[in-house]
Amino acid sequence: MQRHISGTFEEELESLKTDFVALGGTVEQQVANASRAFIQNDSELAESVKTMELQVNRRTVELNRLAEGTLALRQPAASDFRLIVGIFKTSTDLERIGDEADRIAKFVGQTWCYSVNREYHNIMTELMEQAVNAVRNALDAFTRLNVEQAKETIVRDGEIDRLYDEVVASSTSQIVENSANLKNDLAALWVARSLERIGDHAKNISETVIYLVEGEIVVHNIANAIEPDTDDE
Amino acid sequence: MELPDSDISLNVVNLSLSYADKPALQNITMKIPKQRVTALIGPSGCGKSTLIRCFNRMNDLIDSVSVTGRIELNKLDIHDKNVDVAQLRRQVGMVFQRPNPFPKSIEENVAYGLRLTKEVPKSELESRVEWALKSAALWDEVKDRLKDTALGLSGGQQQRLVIARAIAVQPSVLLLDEPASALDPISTLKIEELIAELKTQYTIAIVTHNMQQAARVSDFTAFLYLGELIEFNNTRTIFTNPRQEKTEDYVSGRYG
Repeated sequence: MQRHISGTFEEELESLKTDFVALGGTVEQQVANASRAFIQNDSELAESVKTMELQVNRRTVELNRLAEGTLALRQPAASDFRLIVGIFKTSTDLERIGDEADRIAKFVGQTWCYSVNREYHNIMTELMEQAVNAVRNALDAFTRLNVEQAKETIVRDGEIDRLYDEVVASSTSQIVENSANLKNDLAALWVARSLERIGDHAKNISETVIYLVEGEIVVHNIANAIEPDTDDE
Repeated sequence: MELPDSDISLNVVNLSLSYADKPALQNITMKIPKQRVTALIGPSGCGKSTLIRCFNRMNDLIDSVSVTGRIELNKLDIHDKNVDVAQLRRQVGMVFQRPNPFPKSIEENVAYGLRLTKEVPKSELESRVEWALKSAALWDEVKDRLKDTALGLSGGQQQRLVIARAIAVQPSVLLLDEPASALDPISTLKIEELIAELKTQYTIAIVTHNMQQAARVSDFTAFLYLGELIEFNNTRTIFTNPRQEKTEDYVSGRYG
């Protein structure tokens, strides 16, 4: 594809992409730090998640303002238009991933929470790894406009959902068997819930990638992603 | 785009045109749907004005032009030797970039074509003029000064007057060649609003350099490049997800 005739428009789009990638990088780091902080009960690391949260919120607002300006002043068309729409949609997902990471970080350092790590250690570790990977892959697919990677991320979300169900099942039976650790079990539930939500947002981002590249809106169903709607009238 | 025959106004088949030896249009095949707005876009010299001028045989006026291929208006070949060109141009009205009212009164401008054809009895002229001016959304602004010269109107009003003059003879197709490019933004919006109203009765083909205008007013858009029809699709597809890379490059401002 050729460059835009307008050099300033070209620069504007480039800086939108750069800001987007920077925001994505911060959010990815936030999820990774929140997960590690939770597993290792590292309060300092958890604190970094909260600091990043403020950055993420500020940068999301800035990115949306920039995209708004481009939309209003440049009237982008075709793939440029889809990029702007994609950035609006994805920045919301990123901001919410940040919120979920922050929620996870809030459990770190609470004494009753430490034992959660012991009981749910393996499954929680796996769930966290998967969630971090999902965010990383979705953002990677966005940056490279890689539809295959996006589709793979959508498919893999099923694994995250399965792990979440496992946490729900085991924490529910724990609660029934012994309510003495109620707080631990509930914390496991909440954290797993956040990770599952993070996976969903990564899936949304991946769907947006397909829209960016192919112009087809894919929702909730990988079958549509593989056979996009071709209604040309 | 598949359309039933009854929905096609202009059927263009393998149309090629050259000025002397210089090809201007090459093998254009497209079906312009009835009572819809079709926009023709493309860089300068792509052939879009030449193409709409084919629809009412305006190019006949240029000696060096040679045309091959076929254009049907409501299934009738417009190049058929039995076709009366003056009659054809009544059916296919045209409005140009610069408003060109006659140096006559507002009323006489609109009645001009009707007087020529003598099809409308004199007693009905007045009501037809009123109807045309109302259809062109100009009536309220001029009803108290119908006898005044049309040259005293603003550019935007003059353009609507010219549209009223074109529709007074009740054509089936209205060709608009850059109808708003000499107008201010508000007059432009009024013309666009008018186009939206007129399409309920007429087939409209509009040539525009302003892509946002094409996006706003048209149902279908044809992108031409170097005399070829690159892509013809519904307007939304052209501007959000064009199928051809050339179209993509043009509508997103990358065409070099």
